[in-house]
Amino acid sequence: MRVSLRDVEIRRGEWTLSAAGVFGEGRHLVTGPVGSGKSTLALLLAGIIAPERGTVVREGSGPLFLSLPFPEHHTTGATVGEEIASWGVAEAPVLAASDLAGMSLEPLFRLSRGELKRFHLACVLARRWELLLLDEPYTALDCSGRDALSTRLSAPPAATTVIFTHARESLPRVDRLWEIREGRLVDLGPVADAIPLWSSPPAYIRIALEEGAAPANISVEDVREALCRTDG
Amino acid sequence: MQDGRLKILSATVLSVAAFLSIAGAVAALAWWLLFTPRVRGIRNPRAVLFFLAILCVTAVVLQVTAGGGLSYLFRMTVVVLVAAWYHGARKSGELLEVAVSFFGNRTGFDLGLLAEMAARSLDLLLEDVGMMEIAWKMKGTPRRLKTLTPALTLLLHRQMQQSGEQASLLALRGYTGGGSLCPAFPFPRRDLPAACSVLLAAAIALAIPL
Repeated sequence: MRVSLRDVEIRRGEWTLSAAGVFGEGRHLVTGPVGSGKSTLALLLAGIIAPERGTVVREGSGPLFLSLPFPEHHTTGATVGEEIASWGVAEAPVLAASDLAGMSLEPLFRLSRGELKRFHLACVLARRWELLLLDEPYTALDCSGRDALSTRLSAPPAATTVIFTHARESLPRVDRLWEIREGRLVDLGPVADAIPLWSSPPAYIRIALEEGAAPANISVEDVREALCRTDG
Repeated sequence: MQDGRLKILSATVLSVAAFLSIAGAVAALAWWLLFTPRVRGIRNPRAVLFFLAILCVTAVVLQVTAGGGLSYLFRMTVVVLVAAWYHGARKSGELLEVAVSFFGNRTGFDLGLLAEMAARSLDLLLEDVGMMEIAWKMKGTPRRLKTLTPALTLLLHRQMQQSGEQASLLALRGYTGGGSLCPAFPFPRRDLPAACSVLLAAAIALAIPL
């Protein structure tokens, strides 16, 4: 699915967000500080809210999904097994992906915040979406959970995936970078060209750039490889 | 209305006036129409509609069984409108300031802090319900009691966890009771007619007990 934002503007009192650009097939990363408008943009792309000005055009058909930051909002089952059934996906792979093997009968409220988030993402990623919007997918995950999610999201998607995050410790490989700067969505372009234009990259990328490295992508592995090339 | 103390006193007096008599309810409704942004000032119209729906059911039952349902519906609708105005007009931290102003830095601070946390929890709960509706729409889940119950259980559990975390945070920061706050309340001249009209509404409610 392809989503075009044509001179869109959203207003909330004094606060405004303007956006223009096309989210085509592939993986997109939208970054920006807390409160910059990432969640609002996600709601806009999902068609939950309408802009005050401009238009949002979705081309293509098929299911779209917006994963909200708090996994509690998505739950409709009382137990782990019931929740998996509510997503219409196979139980075993989800349990394995979320490290909950053998816990099908466990009540959801017994899971920690991190476990619930990991479980929710496993349910979401077990289904096929044409447009997948992940709003702050790294929230509540520990280091290993974040790394595992980055690896999972780095796999070539069969659809358009847009990740909205302010996370800076671990990021997946993406195709295009976007940044919200002072109330405006800026399309930085294809990832390799976009990295030097990124105004607030994560520390590991900033250090690599200062060292003269030119990473091909934004995952920790890509940056490490670029640094090795520089050293070599 | 800018003064937090006047706001809460007005909401209390107008609610009592509206509940006491139809005349008081008419006066309170007139006040709501004249001195508030009316429907625009309601922060959560759906919650107001929900309460009004419950009132309608209660009024029908009352009318059929004992009579007086219409009077009850009108008076309680005005009470809900006044409450909705206060909910929309209240600023963050205002309850703490008002409580300290009324009851001092020991009891007042504790009561105010409790009220602030309760109000914040209510706001969060309303936000949560809104987000749940979005999430369910995305998931294609129909609204049924069977799906609503586990979701609300989880939200309640989350609220309790947050309360525990908040309590730990307060304890870590050395809170044992009471505090120090010097509240200041602006009172622009344009708030004077609104404040005086509250007293008028109360007088009408007491003078015409119908």
